[in-house]
Amino acid sequence: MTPMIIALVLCVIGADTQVGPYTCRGGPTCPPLRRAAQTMFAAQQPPGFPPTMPQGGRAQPPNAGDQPPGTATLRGHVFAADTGQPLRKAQVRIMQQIDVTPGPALVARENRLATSDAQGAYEFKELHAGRYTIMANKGSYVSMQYGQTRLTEPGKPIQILDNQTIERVDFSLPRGGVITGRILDEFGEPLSEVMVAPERFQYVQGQRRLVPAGRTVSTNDLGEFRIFAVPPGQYYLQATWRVGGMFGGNTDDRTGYAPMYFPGTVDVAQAQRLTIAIGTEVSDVVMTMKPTRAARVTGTVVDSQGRPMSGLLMVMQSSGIGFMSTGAPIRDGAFTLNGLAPGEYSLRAQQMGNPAESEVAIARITVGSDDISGLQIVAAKPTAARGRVVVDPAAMSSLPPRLILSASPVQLMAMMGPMAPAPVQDDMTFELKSPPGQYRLNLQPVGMGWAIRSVRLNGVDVTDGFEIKANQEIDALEVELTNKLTTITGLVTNARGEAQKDYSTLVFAQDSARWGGNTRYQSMGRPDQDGRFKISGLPPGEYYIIALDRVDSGEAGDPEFLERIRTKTSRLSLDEGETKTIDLRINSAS
Amino acid sequence: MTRPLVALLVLSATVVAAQPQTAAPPRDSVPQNGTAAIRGRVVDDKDAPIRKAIVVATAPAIRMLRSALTDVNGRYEIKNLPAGKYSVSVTRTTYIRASFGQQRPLGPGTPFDLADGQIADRVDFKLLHDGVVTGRIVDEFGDSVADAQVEALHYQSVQGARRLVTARSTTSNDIGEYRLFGLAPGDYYVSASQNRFAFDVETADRAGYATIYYPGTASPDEAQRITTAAGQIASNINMTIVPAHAVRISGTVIDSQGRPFEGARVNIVSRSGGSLGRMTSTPVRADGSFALSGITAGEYTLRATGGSEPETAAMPITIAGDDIVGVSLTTHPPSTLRGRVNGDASAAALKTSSLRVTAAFADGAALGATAIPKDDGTFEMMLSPGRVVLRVPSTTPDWRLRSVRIGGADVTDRGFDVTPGSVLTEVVVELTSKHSEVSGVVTLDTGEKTRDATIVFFAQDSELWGHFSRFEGLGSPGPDGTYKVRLTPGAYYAVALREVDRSQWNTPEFLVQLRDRAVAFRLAEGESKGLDLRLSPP
Repeated sequence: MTPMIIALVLCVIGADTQVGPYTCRGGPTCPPLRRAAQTMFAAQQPPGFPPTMPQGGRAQPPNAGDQPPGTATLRGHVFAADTGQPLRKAQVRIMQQIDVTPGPALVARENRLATSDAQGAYEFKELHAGRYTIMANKGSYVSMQYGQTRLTEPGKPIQILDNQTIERVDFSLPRGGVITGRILDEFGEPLSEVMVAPERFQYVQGQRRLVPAGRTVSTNDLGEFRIFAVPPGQYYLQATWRVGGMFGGNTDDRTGYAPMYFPGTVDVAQAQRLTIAIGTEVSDVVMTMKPTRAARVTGTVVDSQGRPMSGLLMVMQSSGIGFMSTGAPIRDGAFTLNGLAPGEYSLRAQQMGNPAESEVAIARITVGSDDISGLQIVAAKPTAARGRVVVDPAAMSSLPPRLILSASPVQLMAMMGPMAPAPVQDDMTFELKSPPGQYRLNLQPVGMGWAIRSVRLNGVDVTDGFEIKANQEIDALEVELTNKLTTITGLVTNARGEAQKDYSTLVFAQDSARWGGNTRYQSMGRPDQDGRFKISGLPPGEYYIIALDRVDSGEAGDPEFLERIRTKTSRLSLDEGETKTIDLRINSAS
Repeated sequence: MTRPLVALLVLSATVVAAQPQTAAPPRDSVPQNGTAAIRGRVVDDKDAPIRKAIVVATAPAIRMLRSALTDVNGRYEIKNLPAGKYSVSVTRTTYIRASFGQQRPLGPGTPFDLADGQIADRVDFKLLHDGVVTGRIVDEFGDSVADAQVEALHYQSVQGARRLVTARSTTSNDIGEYRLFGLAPGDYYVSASQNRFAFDVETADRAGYATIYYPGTASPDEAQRITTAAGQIASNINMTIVPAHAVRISGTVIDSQGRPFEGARVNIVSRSGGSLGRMTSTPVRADGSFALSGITAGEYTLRATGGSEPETAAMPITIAGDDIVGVSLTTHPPSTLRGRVNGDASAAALKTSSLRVTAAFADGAALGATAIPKDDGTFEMMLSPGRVVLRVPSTTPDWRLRSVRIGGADVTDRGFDVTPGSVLTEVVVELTSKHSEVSGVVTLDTGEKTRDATIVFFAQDSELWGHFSRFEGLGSPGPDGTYKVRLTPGAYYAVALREVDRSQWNTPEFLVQLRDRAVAFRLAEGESKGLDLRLSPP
């Protein structure tokens, strides 16, 4: 038995979230992850959350139904790449990009779904003018974004004007690969409910990491799995055993299985790559899990007053497929977790009750072969951070009503919780409550033409983050908003002066201190059907700009990559509210 | 496609654990050691050893579980046991749980005496596999449907109401195949629906897919029952997902001040039960308008929550064939409930801060709330409007709810109305440590005692049946052959049955059938009543 006191890492309620390899950017700018989360929490939260906002508003919003439907139409077909035959019942999704937030997060305003008919045809009507991303998927075929030429690169946007009809936005979906097999235990018997995922190296926030690509499936009672629609590529197959009955009583069962790579190693370096070509099937992959001793972790959680806390303990395995997560009750301060295979885990204890008020603690533990007992976790109260919003008086009249500020952690954490956003009051003050940690403020809703210009605390610029310490309330945050947003747009040609339609334009800060996966000072643009890129919402400053033939997803967050291409870039200075048109010559990324 | 799923996994954990938990293992008990042992072997129906089965021994003497895993040969041994009367059971994934000495699958086991130094040998088990349902999902063209959500559903009693709930769920693969496993023997209905993860999706497309119940109906009432038996596979449970006209629901949400309820979400949940997959939601736009697409015919609840104000709105809505426009939701502020938890005169030291007061809505339409009383017994909670009952989950077995009163009026069982934005004070929740108890034996027609029986207790007054009833209970004879059940004082019926479907034992539909062959009795406060029962014929 190894008694152990662990360091506390504190996490905000509902801020930027990383669930395993999946990153959810803070604010309302998140892909479906956050949406799903909000829906679930909205459905589950008792009233009284979030905190109230007084009556009245600044500008009165238009009446419901005032916004007329759009006037543009977009249509096309979905085909099977191998046969050229139309694909019926394919799902096509169209999402409008919003010109505010730089970075990889895609903000959707219009988000619609259509199904292709028997001839493979689909259509979106009454679209508003804007820049759109379109994607198609169908069963065993590889999902594709429109204009996607490589699977590691995003697709290309389509610029739609009012009254325009855009035809032939066609997709040709390659048939995905299939991997089938069985997972066995050390006796050769089937292991059920083992998660199996094909993984590949990808840049995540500038780091090359192994992340699941495509579907993660679970083995059935015969130990069988079948992964389909696998995009062509090279994969490492990982199997992660999920603990059954993790929160049962006092079992003596200490058998567990560590996450394992094909053909049967816990070490990626020794793993064997599977090559999946279009439409190929890799059959009967058999992996035998190796037992490890699984530990029991017991401990106590006390609140900030030192009283035993009741609530919920969430457990997330940091290694492995990553989203193994489940909840254990904390009763009168005590909890028991059974069957933890060796590895890194994140624990998040949340007090029962109103999430905006409840105390939270985050702990990270390393489980070896021994049980851990006497783990002591101390929760902290949400700390208030108050301040006021400053707006240029001349622009005040166009300020949208009901602005909301939310805090997101500067470092992405592997735990999520409900969001506690703070509405901006009529007197322009706000009060956030969050557990201690490093935070950055975000403005909601996005897409209203406004953004945070700066955040100051006691005269210091903290736009890129500030610390909320336990029991030390912050009173004087000053958040300046602006509606003078920047835009960069342009065309790209090759050495012979020919217009290019397949490239990525990358803009990043000249100051390398502003590089990194989570920076505000970086953005990427892809050409629309006219070959034009458009990047909006970067803060004013000094930048490099470059058009590259290809940028793998996540690669732009890699400082070494930026350093390498820096010599080929052009310099660009962006003033507040400036729209710059800049035409570029294409470069090779290699 | 995996992203929403990730969130749902994480969140469903939260949701599950937010429910009040019961039956915590006693933490303070220390395993006692002795000199006795139990050992045996676990095999399957072909007498092949089952490895890694978990064998659990319990006895009143040890007050906790002692367990062992079977080895390569299916053998196990639980050593250092104190003397006592032991019950032994075994579990293993994909197998049906078995108890030693049981007469039928899932029946009660037979405990046996173990003396100091004694070794109980040959405590052997034969395990049968759980039921499996397999099949294939195709669309109207006969094409395989990938990623269809397939569920095995069964009826369960949810707070006294008979509801269809998900037992197991899975998704179909690229060739449309699915395999549902780990189903305990019983009656199931199988449903399939197109998994669209349609969060925030607006569509002009009116081609939706209704949930189909095997063999091919949109109505759960017309679904064909599939009975799974131990070790059996129900195969070829194939279904065709056919398009159904999907409608768009649009309207506005305004708050109690008449302003657009911007920043909130409107979600729609099927009232006919089922899973998360049938829920969809949309944000409320800046002008208060919203639109939900792809909704097929059925009964739903529409709800608006999560705006910058703590207000909520909910309304039932029936979808038939046409688009629904102009739905007007008006949110109302939460109501406040303040009160106090008291012990009655019999009360010893009542530690109120270790209790929970939960509020539940009588119609189940909205989610309730939980409050933790302070040390002085006062509590406060915020609630959505509706008809509410208060309960104190029995986390401390020494206490039970005696009454809930508001301004002197007893609202324990009939509940009370919470009106929008109101503040209810002087809610008094009285607990008592006086328990009323009924105990006895169950005999066969021959006069012989039996342990293989379940006794159903329910109120004589059918008004007290159903949601959150305090006047019901289940009992079974223990190892000594007698049953003992604590009940709220009142007028009861009791029936002893061989087998009770615990998924619907307290539903009005079932209780009505039992009334005629039940024994009536009254139980006063603090009374311990003896009541021997004759096993009722099936």
